[in-house]
Amino acid sequence: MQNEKKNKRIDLRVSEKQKTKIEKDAEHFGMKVSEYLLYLAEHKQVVVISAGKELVEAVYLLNQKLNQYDNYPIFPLQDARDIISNSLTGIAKKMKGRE
Amino acid sequence: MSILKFVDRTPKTISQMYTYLTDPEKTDIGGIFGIGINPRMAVEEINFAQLVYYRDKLEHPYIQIIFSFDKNLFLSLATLRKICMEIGYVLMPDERQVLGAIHYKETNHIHCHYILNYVGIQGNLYRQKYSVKYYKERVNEILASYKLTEIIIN
Repeated sequence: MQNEKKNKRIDLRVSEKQKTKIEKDAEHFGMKVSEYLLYLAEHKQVVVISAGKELVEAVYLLNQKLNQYDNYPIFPLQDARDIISNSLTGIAKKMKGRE
Repeated sequence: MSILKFVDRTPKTISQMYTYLTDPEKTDIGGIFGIGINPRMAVEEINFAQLVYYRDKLEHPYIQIIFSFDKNLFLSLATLRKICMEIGYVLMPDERQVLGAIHYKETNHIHCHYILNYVGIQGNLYRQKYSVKYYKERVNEILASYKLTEIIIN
């Protein structure tokens, strides 16, 4: 849907309370209001991966650290990387399964 | 001469691009590296970061940058990898996953494709932080340290 040209507008009226809630929820997920509403329209619900953002950062830093040992293969680095990647894939599948 | 090129809006999906970059006729596991990412499962890790930040349906989920060495270069793959990785760090505007693939087989123009996740590890979208000239100058510093032909800056 996102590859389609976005040349149409939707204007809608909401109450003060609804506006506050929508804005607060969008902010909670780090999204703009328009992104949040479009995401809900496409996915029906927003699923939160607990500590997902921290996990992304941790894996990023770990991969950086493992790079330092690429020239000194003291243990099967690639296997360690793959275990982590497969875990992330598993989480992503579960998340998508809930949509 | 060496060349640095920013490629906008490649029509390939991230999976299609990964297949192209890791083509065994162009490179092998020694020519593929990651910065903050598992090179063998880069697509999965890029997708996961985008999913966590609710950016899993981006029209352009990655940025591609190509660095090309001068023609007829004779360096070991380990040295090429080291240079390309150093350049990769220069091209990162902030903390985001970068996949590098050196296409060195059957070519006179060895080059490295860099794929930068459009979504940073803090969820921030890609913005080219500096001018192309700035990046070329920084890359030239690396090339000069290896006594390699530099990029011509206009």
